Amino acid sequence: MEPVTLTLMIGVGLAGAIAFIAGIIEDAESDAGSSSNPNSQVQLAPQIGHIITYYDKAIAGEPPQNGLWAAAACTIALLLSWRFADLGMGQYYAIFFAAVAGAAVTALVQGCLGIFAHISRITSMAAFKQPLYWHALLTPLPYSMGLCFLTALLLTLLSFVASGILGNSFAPPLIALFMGITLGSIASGTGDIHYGAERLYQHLPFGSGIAISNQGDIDLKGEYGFRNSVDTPYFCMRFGGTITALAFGLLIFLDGWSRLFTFAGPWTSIILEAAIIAVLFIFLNRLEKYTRDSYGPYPGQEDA
Amino acid sequence: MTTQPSEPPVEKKEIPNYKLYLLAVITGIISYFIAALNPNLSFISIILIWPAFIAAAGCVEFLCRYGLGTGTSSIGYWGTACGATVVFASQFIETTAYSPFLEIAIATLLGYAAGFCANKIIKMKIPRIELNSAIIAGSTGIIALIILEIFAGGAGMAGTTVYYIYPVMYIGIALTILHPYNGNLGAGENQTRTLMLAMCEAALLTSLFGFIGILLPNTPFIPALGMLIISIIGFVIFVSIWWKRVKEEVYDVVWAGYPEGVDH
Repeated sequence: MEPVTLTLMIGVGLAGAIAFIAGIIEDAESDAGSSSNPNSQVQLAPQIGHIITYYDKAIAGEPPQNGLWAAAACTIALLLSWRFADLGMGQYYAIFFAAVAGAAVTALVQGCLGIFAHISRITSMAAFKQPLYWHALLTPLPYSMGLCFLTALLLTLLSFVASGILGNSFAPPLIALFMGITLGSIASGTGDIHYGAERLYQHLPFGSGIAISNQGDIDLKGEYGFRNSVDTPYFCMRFGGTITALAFGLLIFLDGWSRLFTFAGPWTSIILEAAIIAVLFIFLNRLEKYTRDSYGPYPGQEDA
Repeated sequence: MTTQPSEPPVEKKEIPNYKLYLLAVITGIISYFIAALNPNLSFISIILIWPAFIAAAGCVEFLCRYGLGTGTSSIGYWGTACGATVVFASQFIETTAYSPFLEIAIATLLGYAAGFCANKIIKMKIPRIELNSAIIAGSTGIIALIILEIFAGGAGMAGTTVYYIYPVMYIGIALTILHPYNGNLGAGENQTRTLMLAMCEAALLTSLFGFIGILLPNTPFIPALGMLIISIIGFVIFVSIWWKRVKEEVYDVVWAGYPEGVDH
């Protein structure tokens, strides 16, 4: 096997592995701060008389906020790695230590914005007698910042792998921005489904959506005491985290294939992904039909 | 059950956004010439671009009251796309007509055109979207222009290393003008507290840019360090002002405990 092909294979595998782990961590980070869809429910709760102890980390949309974490961490890492290289440090050590520093700075920024968002939003709920609980902020905050650190670190490393080993023509900070927005979109669209409805509405039947009349009527009590946002990622990592990871990891992994197999040029990964989606669609369709035939219609849909 | 809201506090009259923008343009142009003529005084330039963040955040607040999203797809990204892109694109155009006046004017006009199209073609029917879109685009143009000028150390946009920071500049500016309203969302949101948060976040972002400036190879060290120090001082001052306002408006501040009237 030619060394170039071996390097590319290692790069593709590494990129896929990093993307998979980043997917789990990012989804947990958003769950720890009630981001995206759950954020609306947490926001609505006090208006219908539920005093909450959730961390209300609203930072202007999950995709852009992840874009900022990734772009900021990667920019700092790139610039710092040049400084380290000037000091005589080896290239890979320089990139790794610079990435850690970049992710640490980014986690501090995320913590500041999270504090601002939580306190400001709780203050805006004063008319509904919602107090500002310090424990609801200070318990999940370091956890959320830690997860942000890991997400930023992984996306930075992923950008360097894409730029260096896989030969992407864009600069690492721009790749990081794209990766961050992509991962945030996937976690928002895929992972949060398993938080918004499953975790917040455990006292209601799950499976056919949440009626508008129940919006904001979320669970307040946890396994012990009042539920706070630390409980949530523990629950969501089982399914929401892994499904996000699968989606993002597969995307990055298959995209790398377009460099290994070039039968259709840049379209290779798109053709492969379309094929996998078709297989999944057929399998899930068959599974649904089998389930309905075996166990009958869903409750409440007998007449349909 | 719906909780009856208590009596809302009497709110002072809001500051019109065009007044905030006029202030931002004046301070922005002064800021540009300070940075261009004497890079070592760029810490003053940083103070003078904070009004641009406030003007843009004020417009986001105004527009989002009409139902525009405050999250992923929202006016903040739209406005930044118009404003910052004009400044970034101008870096690639070699012309003697290059001037801050021209760039701010083009950014503002582009923002106006985007708002005009939104109302006339897409039929969004949002009052004064043209004006507010123009202000957001102009403000983000001012911010990008001055920060790039400080990083260039008064020597123009020589060198390509500054291009590496475009992604973080773009998304950072967009989030900072968008988040003050997004972070304050709720029945008790008001312009004063939203703009105070905009000041805090503006100082936070310029601190980040100051740190990045220190690391940029071609950027003079002293201006970048000044930017970082002044931004941190501003951040501390603004956060203390914002926190004072929060304590006046919040229902209660408690460490822990069960809410009153809830069985446990």
